[in-house]
Amino acid sequence: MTIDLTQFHDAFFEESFEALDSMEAALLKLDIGAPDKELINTIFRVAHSIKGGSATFGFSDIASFTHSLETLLDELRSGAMQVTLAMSDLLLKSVDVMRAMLRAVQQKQPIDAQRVSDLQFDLELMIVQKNATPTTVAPPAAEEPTQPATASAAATSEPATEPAQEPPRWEISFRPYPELFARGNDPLRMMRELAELGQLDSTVDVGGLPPFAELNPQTCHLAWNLVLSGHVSEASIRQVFEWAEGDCELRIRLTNPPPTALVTPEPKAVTATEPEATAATEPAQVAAIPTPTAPAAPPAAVVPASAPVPVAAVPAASAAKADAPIPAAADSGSIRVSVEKIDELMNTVGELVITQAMLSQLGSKLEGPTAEKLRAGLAQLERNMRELQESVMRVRMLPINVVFSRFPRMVRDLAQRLGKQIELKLTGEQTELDKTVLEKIGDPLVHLVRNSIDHGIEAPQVRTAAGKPAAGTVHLDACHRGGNIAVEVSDDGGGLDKNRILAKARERGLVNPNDVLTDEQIYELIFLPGFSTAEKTTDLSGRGVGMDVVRRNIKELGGKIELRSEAGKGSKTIITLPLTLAIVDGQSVAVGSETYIVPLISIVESMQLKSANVSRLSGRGEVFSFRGYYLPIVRLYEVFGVQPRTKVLEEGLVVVAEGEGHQRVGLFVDDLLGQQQVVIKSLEANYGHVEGVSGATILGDGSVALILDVPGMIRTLSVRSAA
Amino acid sequence: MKKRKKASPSASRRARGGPVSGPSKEPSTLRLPAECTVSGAAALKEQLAGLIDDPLSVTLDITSLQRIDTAALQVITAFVRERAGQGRPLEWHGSQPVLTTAAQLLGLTSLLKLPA
Amino acid sequence: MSSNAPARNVKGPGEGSYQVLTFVLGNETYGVDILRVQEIRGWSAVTKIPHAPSHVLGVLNLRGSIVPIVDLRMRFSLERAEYTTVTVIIVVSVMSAAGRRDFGVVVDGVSDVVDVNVEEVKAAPELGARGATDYIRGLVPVSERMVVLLDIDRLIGSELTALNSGPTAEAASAA
Repeated sequence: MTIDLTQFHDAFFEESFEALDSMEAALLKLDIGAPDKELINTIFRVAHSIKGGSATFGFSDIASFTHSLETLLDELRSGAMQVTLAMSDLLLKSVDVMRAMLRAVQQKQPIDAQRVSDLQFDLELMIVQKNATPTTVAPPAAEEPTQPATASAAATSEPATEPAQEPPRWEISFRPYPELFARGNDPLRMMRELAELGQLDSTVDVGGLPPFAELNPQTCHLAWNLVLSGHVSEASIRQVFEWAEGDCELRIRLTNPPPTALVTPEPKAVTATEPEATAATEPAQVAAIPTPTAPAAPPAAVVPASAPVPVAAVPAASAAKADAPIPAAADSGSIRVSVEKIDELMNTVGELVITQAMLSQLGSKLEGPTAEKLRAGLAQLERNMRELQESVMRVRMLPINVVFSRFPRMVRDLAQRLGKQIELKLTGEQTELDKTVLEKIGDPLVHLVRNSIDHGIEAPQVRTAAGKPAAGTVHLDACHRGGNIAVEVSDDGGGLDKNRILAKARERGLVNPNDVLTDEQIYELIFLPGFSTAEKTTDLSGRGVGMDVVRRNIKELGGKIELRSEAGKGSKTIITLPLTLAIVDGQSVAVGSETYIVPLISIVESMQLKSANVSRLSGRGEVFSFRGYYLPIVRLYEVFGVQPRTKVLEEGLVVVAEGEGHQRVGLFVDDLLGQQQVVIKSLEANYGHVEGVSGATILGDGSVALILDVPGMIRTLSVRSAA
Repeated sequence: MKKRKKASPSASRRARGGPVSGPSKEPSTLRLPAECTVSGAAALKEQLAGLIDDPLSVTLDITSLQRIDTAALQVITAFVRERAGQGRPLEWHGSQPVLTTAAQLLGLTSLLKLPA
Repeated sequence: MSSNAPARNVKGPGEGSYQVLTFVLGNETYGVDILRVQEIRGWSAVTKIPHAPSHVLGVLNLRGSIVPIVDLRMRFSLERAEYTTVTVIIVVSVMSAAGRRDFGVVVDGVSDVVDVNVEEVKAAPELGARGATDYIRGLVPVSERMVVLLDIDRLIGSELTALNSGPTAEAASAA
């Protein structure tokens, strides 16, 4: 009858990693001088929960380490210790160690015991040496945190601000599901935490407890009705239960909303510091059945805007600070879904799209009045399909913040290591992209940011000497642009040094001494394999394996990358990505009896050639003029070995397509057949890789059309012609 | 039915029968381990199952107890409830704040007949 | 009881007999393990793949997957035939170094499914270079004909992995 707990390990690991992320984010946000109580609580809670969970599952090493961590955090929380830079560093290192430990256990590898015990020793040492100076941190968390820094005059007075007013009284109905224990949760732990927030009265409900003989001891059949009195926000209560989210039913109700007349008027304090609190107050009182809000929800003790607000309502300041949500917010409106299920769903929808296209095509061939109705129905079907497809695609889309959030920590560590001052700016973090694209965009971005910090941003003295602020800015931005995603990494460093790049290229024989290159072409050189202008390679970048790999990664995602720079001012790298890997917007073209799809992201323009624009240049073959440049003509029928309708250039059409780094060619085809969104099918699953082809798709008539890989094709052709 | 030497308030109810009591006339004692948590809950249940029909009072010795959680307390609660229905009491030997606090937080103090 | 030893590297369930789908190509009858046959379908126009070997005709859409089509006549260096409405494609799964892959093989026509007794399979005669007949498991008499039993993995698999990647190809074909 024992439940095998291992089936719940995965969920524990997943949740623990997420919790560690939120702990890290909180640590990075922590302002050493005036640390935020909510952040400290969050950090403590993470350690506490991981400790409990790992103890349940028997991961004693992790439990022991987290116990030490928790002890230190407890001192911090109670105000017995202050946050210092050294402590913050130690805590961040602890996050790393915990991640490593979890990963090791997850993969059944040995834990690096030395590393763990070293750090644990440091933690214990810090606890023992705890600073004796009185702290500026606010008194114990029993009351809702009062920020000393925030202006309300009454804030500095005793925490129990409204002695005449009864503290809020929360009724909590906590009904776990049977598997609560198996998921590493223990109601006792939650009760303890609640008891720390206020006065707790616990009433147990044993109605669901089976007779002893039938009881499965590892399932939970108890439920509780709790009453919590204290200056506590609903959000804090929910946070206590967040690890049990999904494993229980939780209802929280405020039973004594405060009266409207108040004892101490504090009008000035109100407006200055609590615009958010007052605005959001009205609904807060009704905060009954789970309507989760962001962690910054003001406590329900706050009163309608007209009356002066009691100081206990203060977390507006912390609200303002915690505005970028610490990811573990109580959001019971979501569920975890496995990636396989989503992929299956997308495949099925993809098949539906193809079937619908087939039906539409058949429908177009029918005659008669019924055929009309059928066509109308099919048109409606097509609209529905498009919506369905977009909805399903959106299921797989996640905000790029998932990737961006790695960077604050990385930048901080890197800046410290290199002795530079860096300010990281993140914008557009909510821009959504497909999960598969998201997973692969991380590494290239890391490389680019490292480059900026290592080579772009100058040392602080150099910067001030140049009249720049000592701290350099690295800016990560993402936005939707014309059906694609644009991700930009820019810095206000020294920019790319064209002369040095050119010199290096000449040195390596990549460029002839007499060649004249445009700026763009010079920047392109950076993408050549093995190229680096770093004077010495740091262990981060400058190893010369960088930019070509970055470009290849971006290419695999169906995107492109370009560089812009201004000497002395800074550099910018722009990555353009399609929204998803599964679908591509393409232009169908006919070459003979074959149909090919050219991805729209690669197309500049389509046109008909006039013989006047076409020439033959020695050493370059057929070219045509386009916007002031001569571009080579690629006769697709030759590339693919197909019999075309015509071999006369003026009788066909040319699609001007772009590869990497502004390399452009004209693809000669018979006809343009229309633009459509096609589902990408793998050629490599059964066949293999074909140069110049990125995949295939199934057309409405069931036949297969190849999707062109324009950059790859251009590269192969230039290699061939150079040979 | 034989009379018991150590009578308890609900001795009359014992007449209902059930397995004959064990050879010893001492009340049975079960000593709880230091760690009394969910991973050991099944084993705990098994041990208690052996005592469920003991006509004498059962004593839980908590002198070694250091850690206890809801799962273990749930088993004990079920045990107590079952036996209370037959008038068979549970007694505690030893005193541990960890238990008293846990029971209080979970609202089980009166059910488990712990000192408040 | 045949005095010949069982053919070398006969795989199959090993129990004593297994089932084989036989098909005709030119004047010969061939057989493939029925467990590897996914589907039999008629001919339809394929989409050409650039730079493919001549016996790889192209790809077809088979229930949503892109499947390469191989002309076995060309593979066996027989004369190329016309593809007509009775031309048949047998879709087989091939195990290669890269896992399972599906292929379609173009044949003249499909015959029966026959039971083959492992003991009746004779070794294929050695013809010069060993590599050429590696894909033949053996020969077995079936109602007065000789059926050539094919090892589909060796026939299609190793060669196509050679098409698509360098180092792995060498490893695979060396196997």
